[in-house]
Amino acid sequence: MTTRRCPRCGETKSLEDFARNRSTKSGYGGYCKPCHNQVVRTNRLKHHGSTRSFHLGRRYQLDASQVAWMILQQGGVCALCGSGKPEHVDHEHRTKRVRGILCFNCNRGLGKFGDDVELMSRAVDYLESVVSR
Amino acid sequence: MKCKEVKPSTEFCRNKSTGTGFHFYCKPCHRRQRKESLERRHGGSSRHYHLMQKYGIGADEVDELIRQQGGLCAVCRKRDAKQVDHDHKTGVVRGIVCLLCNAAMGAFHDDPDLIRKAITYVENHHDN
Repeated sequence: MTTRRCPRCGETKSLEDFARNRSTKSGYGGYCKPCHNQVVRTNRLKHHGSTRSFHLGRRYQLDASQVAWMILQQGGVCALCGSGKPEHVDHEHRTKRVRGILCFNCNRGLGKFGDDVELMSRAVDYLESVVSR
Repeated sequence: MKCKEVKPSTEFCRNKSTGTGFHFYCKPCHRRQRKESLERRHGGSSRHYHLMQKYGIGADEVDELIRQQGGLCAVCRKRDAKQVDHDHKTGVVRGIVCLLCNAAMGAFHDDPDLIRKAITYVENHHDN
């Protein structure tokens, strides 16, 4: 069988117009690709309000309004440096717990240091030893 | 040796700093000239050329620094020393570090106080 009927738009299309889905018996999704995209988009908006909320929910069990509230509580600045623009949800990688909303550079720096306090104090020593040299 | 031929301007590289807007030598001659001067001044090593341009130290000095550090990053002492770390204000080379440590210090603007803040931040959120 090289064609398949999409029950949503009622058209019969070739199998290439259907996304692969290993969990169905046929190995293909029920709706054709354009219909599937529309359904996913409307459902996401219906259940989560926005794409941003959808992803925040998946990763941190938060939504956009909760993040906005956290930023407000921090005084509208980065929770670490206190000057940058807070736009990145920072979380502890081990426990997956959200710590605060950081600016791009603070979030990046913590990630590069691997949240490692010992490594960070070594970096402080390194920077200060060179400054005093 | 330059070819001394007369060629259409498409055979010359653009160069905004000359009066004509084009290079003096045609593309093949320009390429040969570049290669020759790289060979003469930097031993044919473009790594040496770029290190001299950026930090004023050559490839052999960098290799010597890496050897002094035992081949390991000056900060974490775990990963290989590869990146030349320099003070953005003075341009002085501080040491050879790994990619992650170099990027991490850059993210915190080489500011020890900011990194101390980061330590307190991580510790505060770790305890409770």
